[in-house]
This record gives sequence, structure tokens and C-alpha cells, in this order.
Amino acid sequence: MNTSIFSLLGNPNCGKTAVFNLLTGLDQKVSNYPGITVEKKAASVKINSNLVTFEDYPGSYSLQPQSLDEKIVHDMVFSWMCGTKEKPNGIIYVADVTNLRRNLYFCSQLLMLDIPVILLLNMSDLAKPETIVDVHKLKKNLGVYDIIEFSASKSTGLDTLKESITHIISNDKDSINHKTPTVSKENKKLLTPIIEVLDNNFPFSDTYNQNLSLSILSSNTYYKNLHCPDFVKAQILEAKNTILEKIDKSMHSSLETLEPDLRYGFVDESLEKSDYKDAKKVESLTTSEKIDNVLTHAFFGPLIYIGILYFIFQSIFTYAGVPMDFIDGTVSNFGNKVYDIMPEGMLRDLVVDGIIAGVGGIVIFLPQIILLMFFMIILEDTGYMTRITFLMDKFMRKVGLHGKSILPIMSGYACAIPGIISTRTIDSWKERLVTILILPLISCAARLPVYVLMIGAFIPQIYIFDFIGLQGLVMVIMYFLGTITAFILAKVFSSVLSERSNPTFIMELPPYRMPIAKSVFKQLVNRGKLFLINAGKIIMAISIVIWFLVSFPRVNGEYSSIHDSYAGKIGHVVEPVIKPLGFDWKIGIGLITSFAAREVVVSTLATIYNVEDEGDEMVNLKQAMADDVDPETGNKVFTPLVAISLMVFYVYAAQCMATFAVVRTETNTWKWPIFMIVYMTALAYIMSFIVFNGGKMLGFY
Amino acid sequence: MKTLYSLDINAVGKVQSLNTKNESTLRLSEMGLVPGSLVRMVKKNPFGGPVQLKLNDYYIAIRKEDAQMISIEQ
Repeated sequence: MNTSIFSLLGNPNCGKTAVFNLLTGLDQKVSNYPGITVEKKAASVKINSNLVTFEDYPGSYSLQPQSLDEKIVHDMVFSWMCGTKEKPNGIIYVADVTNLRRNLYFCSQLLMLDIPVILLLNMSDLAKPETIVDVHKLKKNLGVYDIIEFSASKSTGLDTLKESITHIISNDKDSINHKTPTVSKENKKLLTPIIEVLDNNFPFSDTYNQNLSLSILSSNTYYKNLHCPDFVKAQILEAKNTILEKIDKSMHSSLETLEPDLRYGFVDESLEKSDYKDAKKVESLTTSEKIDNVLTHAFFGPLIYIGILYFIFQSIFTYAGVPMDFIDGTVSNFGNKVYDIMPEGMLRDLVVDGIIAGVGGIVIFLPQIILLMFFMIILEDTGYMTRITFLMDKFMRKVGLHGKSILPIMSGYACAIPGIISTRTIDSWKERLVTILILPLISCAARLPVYVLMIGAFIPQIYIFDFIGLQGLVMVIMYFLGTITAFILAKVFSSVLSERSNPTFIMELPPYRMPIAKSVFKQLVNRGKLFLINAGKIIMAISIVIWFLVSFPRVNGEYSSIHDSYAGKIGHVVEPVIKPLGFDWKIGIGLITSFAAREVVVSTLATIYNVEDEGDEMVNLKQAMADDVDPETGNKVFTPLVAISLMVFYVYAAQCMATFAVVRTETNTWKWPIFMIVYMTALAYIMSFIVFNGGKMLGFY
Repeated sequence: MKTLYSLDINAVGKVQSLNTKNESTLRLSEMGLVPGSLVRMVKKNPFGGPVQLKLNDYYIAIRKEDAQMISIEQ
């Protein structure tokens, strides 16, 4: 059976992804893993006995790309038209009905592609489409295949959409009747040189050809986006210059708006013929604006932002405690049960001390990671994130970044990888590169286990002014340290780098919306699954390896002391290097295994201490660390100062190989990831050294 | 000539011409900020930060530098 392809396209914030999730169902596997660079999300489902693949593309305002995100959409469409990629059976164009005029601009560009377009009037629960426009007339005036009133949050219109999809599949493309704006005779004549070059080199339809020529003429840079040999580009440029020579210089600037003028002319005419009730007046005050009067207030706005951030990090520490203790207890009980059931021997040691201790040590942190993700999703889905962008733009520019760097930075608190991928929305290469370079300094969720473990074991829970917990405060300081260093280095990098910079900042501030519970839930489930799969694969494998390294070689069939094990030997080799930072050889092994992923240090320590302890019960890691004494000196291995030094090391260290692999793909060279590894490692060592030795001098040891 | 940036808070102006840089002009006009359209100044961020405008049915933020290159009539 053939699979049919339907592509979802639309402006940013039109609810496209919610439609995608609705169509593909909650339990569809969405191929959007952090760590794999995604151009689009795709998922296949059965719709009325047809197998359909839905493709979700990044939101775009136009086929004239301004950011890398939009370039992905442009390149896809361009390859459809060149015939190098198979066209989809249909396009599902998602339009926000509360902002119809602007949403139809991009739609009008897609109408020229000879691919049936289904127009979804989304958000119909917020505004009845009939009160805005005569839907039937609009269908006729745009010539779209179908027009459907839709609400992704209320799931209305879904059946009609499925019917329409089935109809397209069974009727092929016989009835494409799209209306497109007509280029005036005059302009057609003007465009002739470019049209001819395109005609000779591409298999385009006349409509697409004319529009492409228009885009080429109206932008200085657009032609660079065309995938074709350089000599063709040269011909195109030559043709463009021929045209420009013919026109009076004073008219050149009006060329820039040729395409927008033409398209808005078409959109406005179609809307007018469809009894469009003119837009709410610009004077009208929406609820969103009233909320904005508080949230982006010149004085209160930044204060509220800082307050929200503080609340998030405090609650991650406070509220996750209960489920964490529960998971901790369950894991120990499970370990002890397995210990009782299994026969004595090496296998039992491997399972209990290696696998269960190692994997269990990490799974405990699931509640915190889920909580952090939850807050991030809420900030993004409500629309507050764009307000932060607006508030912070000036500051971000001062430190060499872009207002739009704030979203990658905020998602960096969860994981650097999606953050790095989301820098694609930043229009300027230089600002984008600097954002990528500093992103891994933002403390991600993988550092959380390290912070939580160290703080929980070595920082006393004292309350300052009765409501600021010291433990939470130390954690906020760790996050702050990474963030402030990121900003300082951004300034340094942007003054040193000589990359091309073209900062424009034009951003829609979408209305505040209630997040869709289902969608939030789905994202959390995906994130949780990813974390557990990671724990199940990488961490389990590493735990087994660590167990072997810690338990062997054996002397006369007996465990030798961990000190003489393979791991002990490796640890002792690195110990001189890390001694000045206050770390012993056990931590040294943790630092090495951390290169796979930061949180692995926790499972490594858990395995080491469980093997070392010869008792029957699972070891409480915090307790074991606090009790650990250096056999030579009789001093404690961990002190609060060592714990802080270790946390500072983790704030800065380059320890996540997946991140650097993504930086490689996003920057297209090894130069930047290598640079990052070098500067971050140096920074980690120096800062940790200062903290440990400074602390010692102040008498904290 | 009055610029968009000089609009008072909540004042409405009609766009006359865009003298912004090439990339900005194209995107602004694609977003519907074309000669003839009405805009209201909603907010000016302090310290020369971006401004928030209402355009058609929606809100848009642009930088001060761009707002100063757009001429309007009231």
C-alpha cells in the first residue's frame, strides 16, 4: 500500500504542532529527539484505511526565508518544484482565524504550487469564523481544495479534515483550482530577463516562475537560496542587473515591496469579496495587552521575570523531594528483594551493586527533570517566552546576543541540544554562533542530579529570613554562575569574532493562551521516556563496565580492595591532576565517565560505593559519601568545600559528547565544537581551583 | 516628517513609507506593515529597547532603529 504524504505548513504560533499531535495521536512516535538534527517531524497513521504520513514543518511567515527555520521550509518547497523531492499529496495550511489577513499571506504563496491546499481556520473556539468572514465565499475566492473550521484545543473539525484528506487521496489532483495573484502585464515585461533564465534552467510552471522572478527582483539576497550551479546564479544576477539598469534609481527601493504589495492586494481582494468583517480596530485593547501592561511593564516586567525564574528553581528543589524519596525507597527495596531472591555469586553482585544501584541512582531524578520541563513548556506555550524576548532584547544586544537568543538559553536549562537547534530562529549568523558557543554553560537538567546529590549531602538545610532555604539558594547560585559566565563570554566572543552580522528583530507577540493540557502532557511523557531510555541504555552499559572495573582483578577468587581494582588504578592515574581541585580518585572515575553524559557521575559513584560496601543492604549514596574517609590521612573525602568545588566544575565542564556532535552539524565544522571543549575544560579547571584553594585559605576545609 | 518611533503611547499613525534596511523592509511588509496600514504604539521599552505595536489584529515588536526609519502621518 502506498503512503500518502501531507505537509503541515503555517505561520509561527498558529497551532500547527497541536494539529499535528491531534492528527497523529498521543502515542505516535515522534521523531524529534534531542541529539538528532530535525528538519521536520513526521509520523504515520491510518486515516480511513489509507496510510498517511504527516510532516510538521517549522512555522514560517513567507517563502522568502529570513531565518534558518524558514530556509528549511523554503528549501523543501523549492525541491518539490524542481522535482528533486516528491511533492506531498496535499498541504494542510493552518491559519489562525483571529489573525486571518496576515496568515493568508504565506498561504497565497503556497497556492501557486499545484499541490491541493486544505485551509484550516484554527482557533475557531476563540472567534467564530462566520463572524469574521463568509467561509464558503472565501473557499471560492481562494480556490482552495477545502476550508475547515478547526479548533485544535477543542478537537473540533478533525473528522471533516480526515474526510477531506481521504478525498484528496482518492481523487488525485484533478481538481486544483487555486487562485493566485496575477502579475501585471507591465511587471511581467519587466521581469522577462529573469523569467527566461529560470525557464531555461528549471522545470517550473509559469505561475511559480513569475513569482520566483518577483522574489529575486525584490530582495538583494534571495537568489542565494536557490539550489543550482553557480553559473546559473550568475546568469540570474546578470538578468537582475539588466532590469535594475532599466529602472530609475529612485524607484529601486519600491521594488522591495513588489511581492508583498501584490500578495496583500490579492489577499485583501479575496477577503473583501468574502464579506470580511474588517479587523478589530488597532485602537481596541485586547486581554493580552492588559496582561502585557503588567508582565512587560518597564519596571515590574523584569522583576516578575526574575521572580518567576527564582520560583522555578526553588520549587524544583522543594517539591520534587517527595516523589524522589518515594523512588529512592522503591529502588532500595527492589534491590534488596533481588538480593534475597538471587543465589549468591557474581551475577547477583553485578545486578544489585552494578545495574540496580547505577540505574536507580539516576532514575531518582526523573521528578525534577519533569518539573523543570513542565515549567519551560508552560512559559513557552502561554506566550510568555516571546515577552521575555521583547523585554531582554536590548540587554541581549549589549552582551553580543540577540533578543531571540533568550529562548535557546531558557531551553538550555532543560537541555543544551534542543536549545542549540532552536537557535535556527535567530536571523543573524554571528548572533546565532555566539549563542551556540555559550549555550552549554547554561546548567542543564543533567547537572541537576549532581547539584542535588552534593547539596543534599553536604549543604545544611537552614532557612534565611524563614523562607529562603539555604539548599535552594546554593542551587540558584550554581545556575546563576553558569548564566552570568555565559553572558560575559558572549560579550567576549562577539567582540573577537569577525563573522557576518545582520541583526534584524521583528517579532510577533502572540496572544496569551492557555496551554493545551494534552499537548503539555505529551511533551512531558516524551521527555520522561527519553530520560528513562537513556538511563536504560547508556547508564546501564556504563554501570556494568564500572562494576567490572571496580570488582576486578580478584585475588584468589576474593574481592580485592577497591583501591587495587582496575578502576582504582585508573582513578589513581588521574588523581594528581584533580587533587588541586580537592577531588580524590573515586571522583576522578566519575569525571571520566561523565564524558558520556554528566549525570553518569552519580550512577558511577553509586556503583563504586555499593561494591565497596560488603553488606547486604543497598547503600544510601549520600550517607556513604558523607562517611567516606581517606585511609591514608584519616580526613573525610567529601567536605562541603569539595562538594562546592565539584559543583563548580560541573557548571563549566564540557562533558556531553552529544552536545558537541550537534554543534558540529549545526555549524558544519569541527572547529567550533573543539573550541568549545577546550575553553570549557580550561574554565572548569581554573574556576574549581580558585574555589577550592580560595576556600581552603579562608579556612573552610 | 514624523517617524513611527516618535508616536506617543496609544497614538495611532498611518504608515507612509519604509526607509529601513532591505531585509527589514521586506519582512515588515510581509508582516503587513505596508504604506497605508494603521499602527498603534503600544509600548516603548526603556533604555532604547524595542517597541511594541498593534498592527491589524495582532501585536508586533520591532527595534527602535527600524521604528525610526518608518515615516508616518497622524
